[in-house]
Amino acid sequence: MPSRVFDTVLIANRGEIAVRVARACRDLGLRSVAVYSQADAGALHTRTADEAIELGPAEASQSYLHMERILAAAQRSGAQAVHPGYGFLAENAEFAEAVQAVGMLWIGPPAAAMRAMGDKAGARELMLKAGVPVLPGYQGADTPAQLKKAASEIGFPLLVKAAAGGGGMGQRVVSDPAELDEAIASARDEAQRSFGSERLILEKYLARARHVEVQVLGDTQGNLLHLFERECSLQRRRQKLVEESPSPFLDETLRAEMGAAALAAARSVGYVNAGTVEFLVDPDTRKFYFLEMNTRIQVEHPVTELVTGLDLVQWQLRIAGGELLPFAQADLRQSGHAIECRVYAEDPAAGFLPQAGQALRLAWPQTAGLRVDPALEQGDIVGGSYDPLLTKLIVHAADRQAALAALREALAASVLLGVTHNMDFLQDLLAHPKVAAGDLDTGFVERKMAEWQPAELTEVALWAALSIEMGVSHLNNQTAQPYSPWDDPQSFRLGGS
Amino acid sequence: MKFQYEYHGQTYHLELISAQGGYAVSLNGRLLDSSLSPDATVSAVRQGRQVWVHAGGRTFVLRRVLGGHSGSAVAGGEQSLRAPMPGQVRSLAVEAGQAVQAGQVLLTLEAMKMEIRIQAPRPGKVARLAVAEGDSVEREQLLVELEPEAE
Repeated sequence: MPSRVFDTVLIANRGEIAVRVARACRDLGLRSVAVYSQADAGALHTRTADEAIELGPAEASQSYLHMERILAAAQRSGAQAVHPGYGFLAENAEFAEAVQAVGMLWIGPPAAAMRAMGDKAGARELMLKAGVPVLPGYQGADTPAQLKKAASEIGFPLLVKAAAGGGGMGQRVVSDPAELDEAIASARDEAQRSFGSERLILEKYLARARHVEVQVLGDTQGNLLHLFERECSLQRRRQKLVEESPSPFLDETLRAEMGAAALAAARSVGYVNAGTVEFLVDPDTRKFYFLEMNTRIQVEHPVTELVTGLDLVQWQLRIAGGELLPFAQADLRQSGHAIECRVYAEDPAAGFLPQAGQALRLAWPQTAGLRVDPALEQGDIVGGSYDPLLTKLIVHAADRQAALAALREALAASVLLGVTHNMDFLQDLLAHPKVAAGDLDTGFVERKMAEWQPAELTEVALWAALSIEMGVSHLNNQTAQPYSPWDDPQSFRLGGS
Repeated sequence: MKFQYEYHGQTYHLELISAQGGYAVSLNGRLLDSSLSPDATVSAVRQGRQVWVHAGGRTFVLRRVLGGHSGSAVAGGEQSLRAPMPGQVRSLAVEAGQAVQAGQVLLTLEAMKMEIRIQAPRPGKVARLAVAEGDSVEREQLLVELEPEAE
């Protein structure tokens, strides 16, 4: 269908999402064009796309954030559409307009919807008008005196937040009224530096909250549907680690209410294409509150794809090509349970510092129900320039317990040597009794996993180290099959290929 | 042959010893059980002094602080590759004068019922093969010489 409108898509991103979009293009018979910085020359996303164009130096400002260079690459490649992925320029309304100004399609929502949702103060106003619940708060004139007066009405603890912000920047939790002045000053300073705007808003702070978001999908004729929820309460410093659908917390009533609220939010800004309305849920009162809307595809979109059977990235392309949604809300179902975890190049035993290295050995298991969305293959170098997301592992199973077990098994069977990663940490996180019980909140990981230490060295590992010293280049790269080299001298010949 | 590894602040002393026609390993003076985890899925790779191991579903990064035979050296200047233990030359994989890559297998030894691959520690050219197929070799006996590294 989209081929009538466009046949070549430029992917203005890198890493796993660029690989993912390139695959969706291929599935639809579209040509894909990757862009890359000098640090990403030869990266998996450049190999997956049909063509790859260099943008410039590693610094994002000189490559993945450089609008003119990306547009020039798009024009040079003959692309008629641009997919922004997530991060970088994905929520930049100015870029969306620039793409359209040169006659290309923007694979995303209208720039006006991006702008409306990007302004947190304006979005709060819009949601209030649309009847979408927001946390008690204040988004009016923001002199220190006005903020103080509003704060005493909202009550403490509260959140001082940059109106133009996102991602936790320019944000302060204030528990004690005496700390308000200082929090306002420092948040304002950070907001100005991060977003070029010092405007602040206030919001009541939920000490314990669950993060539940609703996926929406709309076509250009006003058909707007929700694809149910994802729960992403397992986070570290607002960075999601594990996401699942359905949420273990929601019942049918709350699910329907949140779905309807998400649609009202999206409709209020004339939303088209894929987007996500994020909510905080108070586990005690079971009330939910609008947090923000992400006007793009999200990292965790695969869990929705697995439970609904819909390919969201393909639908982004088809909607941009003018195709109408051929199904109605009543046709959509959540089937089974899906969980995703994010494999990062970071050291959980050393403050989660990002890690660099080379994937000397890399093997993902091939088990039923497991989907792997990779950013790299064996031999690839992991640099330190960008987000350290290496791969997403996503499982789909009949129910939550089976999915948790399958994901832990998949993590244990995944081999990545040469780059320090968080897969052992994720196994232990998923094994926590509270996680198994679905008793989650956004502070859980920091409260319960702060003291995490890697496993004790095993004797098997020492045997393996010794064998490597003896000149065996690797023992076993068939990780899908249990295999023991130890009592079989023949096995020492393995690894020749 | 003795090795010493560090892992998360702890030191592990390993010794490879000949035993009953095969081999055994001692850890901190205690013999290790050679029938450990018979169904374990294990991968390992060496990078300089680091050894990465995936075993029992977990990843370990060990640092070698002592030991390693000359054939396993990673220093760029290595020229003489010697037998890590007594054994027999099973096959030669290169010829004198041949250019080789780092990690390329030069010859294989059979010792203690293991097949041990002697690999080039750096790119270079084979200056001389000091042994032939079928030769019995002693520990530390010269096997291969590489040409000195070009400046």
